[in-house]
Amino acid sequence: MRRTKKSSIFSWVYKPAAVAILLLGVFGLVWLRSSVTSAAYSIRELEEKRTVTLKEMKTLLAERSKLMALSNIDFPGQGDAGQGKRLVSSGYVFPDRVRVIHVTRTKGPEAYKASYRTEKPD
Amino acid sequence: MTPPRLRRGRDDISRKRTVILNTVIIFSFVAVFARLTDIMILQNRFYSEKARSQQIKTEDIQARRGNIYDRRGRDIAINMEMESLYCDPEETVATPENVGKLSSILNMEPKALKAKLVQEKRFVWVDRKLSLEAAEKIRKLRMKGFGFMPEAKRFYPRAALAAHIVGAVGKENQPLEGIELKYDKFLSTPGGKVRMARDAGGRVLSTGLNMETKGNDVVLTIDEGLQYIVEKELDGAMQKWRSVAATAIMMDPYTGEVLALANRPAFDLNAITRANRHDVRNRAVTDIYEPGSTFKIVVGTAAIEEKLFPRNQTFDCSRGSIEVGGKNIRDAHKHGVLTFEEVIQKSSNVGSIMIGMKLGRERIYDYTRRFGFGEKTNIDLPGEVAGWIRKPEKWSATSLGAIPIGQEVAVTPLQVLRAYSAIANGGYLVQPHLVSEIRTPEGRTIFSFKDTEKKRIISEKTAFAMRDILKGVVEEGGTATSAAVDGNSVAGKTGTAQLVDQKTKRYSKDRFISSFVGFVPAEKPKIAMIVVIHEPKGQIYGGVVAAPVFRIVADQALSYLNVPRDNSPVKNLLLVSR
Repeated sequence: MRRTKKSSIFSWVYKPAAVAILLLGVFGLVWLRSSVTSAAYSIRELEEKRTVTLKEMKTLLAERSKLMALSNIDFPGQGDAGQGKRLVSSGYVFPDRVRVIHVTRTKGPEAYKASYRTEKPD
Repeated sequence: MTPPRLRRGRDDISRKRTVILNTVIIFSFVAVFARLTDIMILQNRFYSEKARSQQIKTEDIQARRGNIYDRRGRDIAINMEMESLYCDPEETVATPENVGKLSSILNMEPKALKAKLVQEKRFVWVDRKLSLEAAEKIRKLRMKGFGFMPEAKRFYPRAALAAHIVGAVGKENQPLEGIELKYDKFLSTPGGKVRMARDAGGRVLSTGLNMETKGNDVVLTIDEGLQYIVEKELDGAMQKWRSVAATAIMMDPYTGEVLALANRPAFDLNAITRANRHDVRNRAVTDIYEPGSTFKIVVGTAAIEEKLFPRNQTFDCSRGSIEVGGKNIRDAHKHGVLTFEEVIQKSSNVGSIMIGMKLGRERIYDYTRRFGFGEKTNIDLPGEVAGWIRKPEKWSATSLGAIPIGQEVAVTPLQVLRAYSAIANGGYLVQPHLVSEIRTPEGRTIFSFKDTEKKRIISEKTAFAMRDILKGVVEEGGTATSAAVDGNSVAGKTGTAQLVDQKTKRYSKDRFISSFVGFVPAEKPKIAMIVVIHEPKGQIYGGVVAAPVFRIVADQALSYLNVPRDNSPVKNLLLVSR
């Protein structure tokens, strides 16, 4: 079969285009893969930062826990108490069970009603 | 024009050069091919390993112990993230300047530090579990041959609080005592290793894996508030009576949940390695003692349960002593003629022995065992002892006079408290326990304490009859009026036991154990508690030494728990106002 002029032009245009697309595809894939790898490295860096932040958070939470201990609330100045100094409780006061407000739980989804009730002497 | 001969000569040279060039090219290819064959096939394993070691990094998955919380979710034992410093002595340069800088940050003797840096090893720990701040300071020095490894340090934010319950861990986070030891299989978790790809610059590729694994969290039945109240007042009693040791346990008499357990002397959980061995001992479950008069509920309850005496039965204790097996046993004070109730209320040895003699050996032994004496309570703490009571056939002639008043038997404070809880709850022997729940790090409950089938040891009627007698102990005329709590009735019993002198092998005249055990409010108790003071100075009686501690602790505990007064008009939600 004889080649026509038209088909030789198509062959001249499409063949290089196909090669170019193929090359671009290959390079695209390589670029995409390297981008994914690069992202994975970045994620790892972020993970490391998160680990450091979590460590700091744990340290702060431990510190808060220590400060919230009842012994620290009861004797806030105990860190300053040197030898021979007597600690004085200044933070923890137990409620007086004589002077009380009785709160009655109501049936149904109403808010709690609280009121002072005068206790009658026995 | 070039002559043909000359042109032919040039062609020959050109052809030779081409041949040579081709040969060189072919040999080069052959050489490259041979080398590639050598690398890729013959030495494949060697180069594969080399490549793997360069491209793959193995990292440890950090294993962290689970946390321990109190019943309200407050931290009792947690983990702190630390950094451990190591070095490769072959790479480190131990100049005096470097050693000086490092020793000042590590707070270590320069001589000791230098000794570590010049060892003939490739890995040496310089210092373990440094704070993040100290590690950062060392990093900034940019010294060659040093590296850091993350490690967790067990941290107890409440320091000495509940020390004997929680126990502690060692330097390698190995469990040593208490809950840390008993529940280690739940708290600890195996670590592991993960392989990660890295580039030439040392950057590591993310695997998306969690690089930390954590054990299960343990929720205790103790309440930090109640524990603090108990420990504070125990310290006060130790100071006031200059005693050798003290123990107090607070328990929910219906469920067996231990709300507080304290021993004195105590120790700082964060410095257990510096603690005295004797201070670490959990006297509440490991130390036995003769309970003295607190044991009189055994014969008293047995007599009621067995309907041994009519209600108006009286006991003539006017002599103030009774002879059993040739041994004369005396009352602390002469009492005269006492009713059954008064024998317990006034803690008469003579009356109790009379009741015991009527009961007989077998029944005393039977009720002693029913109350759980002579066997472990099986509380979830290591090192518990069973105490002891001899079988009736091995009793001596004097045993019938000794056992009803709490001698010749050895008990732990926890056993005594459990026995009184049975009176408080209407006749059931409860299972004391310290752990209410175990949760996975995700919050899923994998263990929850369920009440096992309750063991009834006495009838409800007997329990309440004994409860009413014990109320009388704290009322006017009883031995423990100083245990009375304002607003709520208390039921309890004092105990004053002599210690055996190791030299004379006889009861000491100046070394005693004073105790008080009771529950409050007596009608529907919220707490049952025992206070044991070892060798108080100045006073010896349980009613004087231990009962006031009970009152002070109970008063504060009832406020803390928002328990209404007995005469409160509304038994519902209670808010307290000042």
